[in-house]
Amino acid sequence: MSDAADDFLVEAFFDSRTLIAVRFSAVGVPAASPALTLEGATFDSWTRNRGHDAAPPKARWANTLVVVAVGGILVSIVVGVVNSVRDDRANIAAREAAVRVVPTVQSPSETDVDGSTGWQAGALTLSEDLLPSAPDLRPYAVRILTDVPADAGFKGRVDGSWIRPSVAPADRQAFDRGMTLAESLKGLGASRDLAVILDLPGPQSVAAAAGLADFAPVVMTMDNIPHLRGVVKSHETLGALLYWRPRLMRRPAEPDRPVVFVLEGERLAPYANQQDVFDNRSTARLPSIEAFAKLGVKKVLYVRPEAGKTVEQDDLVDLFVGLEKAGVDVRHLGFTTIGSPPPESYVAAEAAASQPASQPSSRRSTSTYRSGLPYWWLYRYGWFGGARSGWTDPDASYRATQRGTTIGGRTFDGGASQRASVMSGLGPRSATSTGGTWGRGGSGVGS
Amino acid sequence: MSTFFGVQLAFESKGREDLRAELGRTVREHRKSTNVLAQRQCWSRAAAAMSDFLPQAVIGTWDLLRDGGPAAYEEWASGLEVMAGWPDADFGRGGSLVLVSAIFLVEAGSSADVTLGETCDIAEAAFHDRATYARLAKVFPMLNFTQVQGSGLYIAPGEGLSGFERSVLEGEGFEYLRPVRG
Repeated sequence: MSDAADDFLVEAFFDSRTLIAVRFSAVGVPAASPALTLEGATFDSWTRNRGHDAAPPKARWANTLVVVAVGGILVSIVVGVVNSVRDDRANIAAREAAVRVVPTVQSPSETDVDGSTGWQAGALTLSEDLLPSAPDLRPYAVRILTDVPADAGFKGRVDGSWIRPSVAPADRQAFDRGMTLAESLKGLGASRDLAVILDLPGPQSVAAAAGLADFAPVVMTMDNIPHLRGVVKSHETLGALLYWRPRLMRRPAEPDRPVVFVLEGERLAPYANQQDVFDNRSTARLPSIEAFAKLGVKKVLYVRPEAGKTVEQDDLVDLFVGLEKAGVDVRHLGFTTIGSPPPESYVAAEAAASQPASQPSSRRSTSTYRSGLPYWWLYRYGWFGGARSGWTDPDASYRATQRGTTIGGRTFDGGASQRASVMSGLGPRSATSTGGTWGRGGSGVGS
Repeated sequence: MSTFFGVQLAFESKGREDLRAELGRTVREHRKSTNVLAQRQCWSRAAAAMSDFLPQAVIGTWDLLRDGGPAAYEEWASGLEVMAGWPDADFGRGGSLVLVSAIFLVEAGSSADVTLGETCDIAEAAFHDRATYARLAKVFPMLNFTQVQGSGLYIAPGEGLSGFERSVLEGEGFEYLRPVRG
């Protein structure tokens, strides 16, 4: 067995409020554990088949096995023993088709950010609710992910559905940073010639956009189809959209504001043709170079999770290089930099450039900081009259350059080619439903 | 023929709120481990986490079965996986115990089987000593994963609940769990 090949298959994965688990079987080895098949039998037949009295203590759990829809993970289950669960992938696919599970968000919330359950109805109008009000921005809004609740047959009720708001501590931090970024851009008088591209893990991209939404128009571009075994955990992003929806629906009062494009930062997550993974990767859907020009964009602030890690994602190289050639400044901003105090070297450099050298250095630092450099992370680009000292760092000096990429010019559709079957699997189902296809069940998705 | 090896420990999460988060992360990352190298790396991480949290272990059990290994594996797996459907009330109220289980099925007579045999060669009086569980956890990444036919890692409850109430893990269905000593 090589290190690179798939030597194991994921036979079961759970991530719910009651169980986090993964079980593997070796490829090419007869499965030791009988497959869980989820059809036909009932609780009673399971009990009879196994013989309740003969079962050792741990089997008590199995005897409680019933059809369940709990904690956001929907599993329609009754156990039966399949005699020939063996090493061929058709059987594996058949088992996956039988074990009907849907994604479940990690940090579910009963309400949206406003403490309302109005999201249940709002889920069905998500695409329309989040559409930019400016006509010239609307063509760039991608509604594939925001259409999922409606396409998956969401009924506007929590019961039995995996669709629900989600918010994690990191998302709340991202929201705060989004608000800070909005305040600083507002304070500096940023206008429509600036485009902000949020390229963070999906939920944080969404939360940051929510923090920016009442200052700048937001354009959602995520197109990854949710799937339990998706390369991209876009169900988490959808959960964030439902949670932050009321804030995302806010509109800036003034038209001349920067525009914010929201990307799924995990859209190109690693994938190596694993049999048990659904390939819902995508390439960014942003305006073309010409379209950016038509929108009046002269500056692009590319927001990534970390400062200093300035390499853009592979699918953006050509666009960014083209923008630079067209005279558009593309600069990098580490998300965690927002709201942070300036580095001492920056303060010292600015102080030296603006004040007599005879002053005590400690006084220079304090004076400089108080004189308006809490927005240093934006000043350093030289866009707002700052950067007097010429101080720079990797983020400020970032320039897109042509390079080879792992995707080599390919594009990915977010799983759209399997949209129909996946949507079918994501829909609501009765507790005893059987048959049909689920994700890659027999359809070859992700292989 | 195959050999079954399983370890189950209930950890007190009070004061170690990072316990479940770390183990949960391990499981989620483990899910990507579809080759031998990745399996070893992830079981290394699981072993490290279990060892790190071992002072919090309260009750536990372990098994090495050379007869009926596949049946034992199936029994543990199905018994644990059905917990995904437990109602919250089955975990008791206000509990803080987190049940962590690791199961393996290895090729009989293989070097992995021999390794397990040597590791589990423990005097009965020390079966449930903390040091024994430390020894057992350390064996996870030492297995030859080309001879591992199946494995599973389980954390219950998930991060949506506080934990098991102690009386639940001392009650019906969990009678086999023993206090961890030392």
